Amino acid sequence: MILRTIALVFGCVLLETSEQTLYRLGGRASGRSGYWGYVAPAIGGHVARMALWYLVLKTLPLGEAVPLLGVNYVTIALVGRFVFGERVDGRRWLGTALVAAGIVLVGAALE
Amino acid sequence: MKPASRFTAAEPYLLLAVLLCADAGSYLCEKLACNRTAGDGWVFLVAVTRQPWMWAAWAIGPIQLWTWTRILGRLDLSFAYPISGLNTLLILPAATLLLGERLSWHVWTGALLITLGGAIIGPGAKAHHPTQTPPG
Repeated sequence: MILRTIALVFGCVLLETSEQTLYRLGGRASGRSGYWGYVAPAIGGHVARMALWYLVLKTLPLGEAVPLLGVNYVTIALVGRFVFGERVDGRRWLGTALVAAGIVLVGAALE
Repeated sequence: MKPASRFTAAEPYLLLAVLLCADAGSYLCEKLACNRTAGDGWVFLVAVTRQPWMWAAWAIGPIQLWTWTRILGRLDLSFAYPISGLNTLLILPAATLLLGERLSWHVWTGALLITLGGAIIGPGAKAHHPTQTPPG
């Protein structure tokens, strides 16, 4: 049961990272069709993520489920660095490490 | 010209404040809907769409999408995203007080670390986020 929940949370994270990447591309795109070319598939991913998320919320308290989504900080920082070429300096990697430590703590509370 | 440009500089941050409140409200509505729905798998997923609390969460969705895409037009994704995660600070007290959830110290400490990590990731990017260069 707990493994299923963790798998669902990671599914949410994968979908959310993809979504944010598409939204970012959409925000930078010029023209209406360029915008929707990115935002429309992002909305599709959003619907799939909602389904996974409701299954997570059914099993976990909100106060545990929401912090777990912090895994997104790590994946989003990686996308910022490797897809958009944004600078990720030592300070931001430290932040990412704190997030990872927090995830481990929250994960330890899961039953 | 000046007031307009000052507003343009502050706008992404005002939008982030709106987004934080919308996110927290949406999570609470979703959780209330899930708590009130029986079943599992597809049965659960179909039933949960009939919950008025879920309709309330969905009503907030367009506000979130609009504010988020506007924010990302101005700020780096890896800068804006951790700030949007500050809603965790609203959600833990809200889940305790409004939903009656009992959260262990692991969860509070972990959530604080995650939020702190997010806050550190944010300002680190501030010096070079795109609002400091002329809009394209």
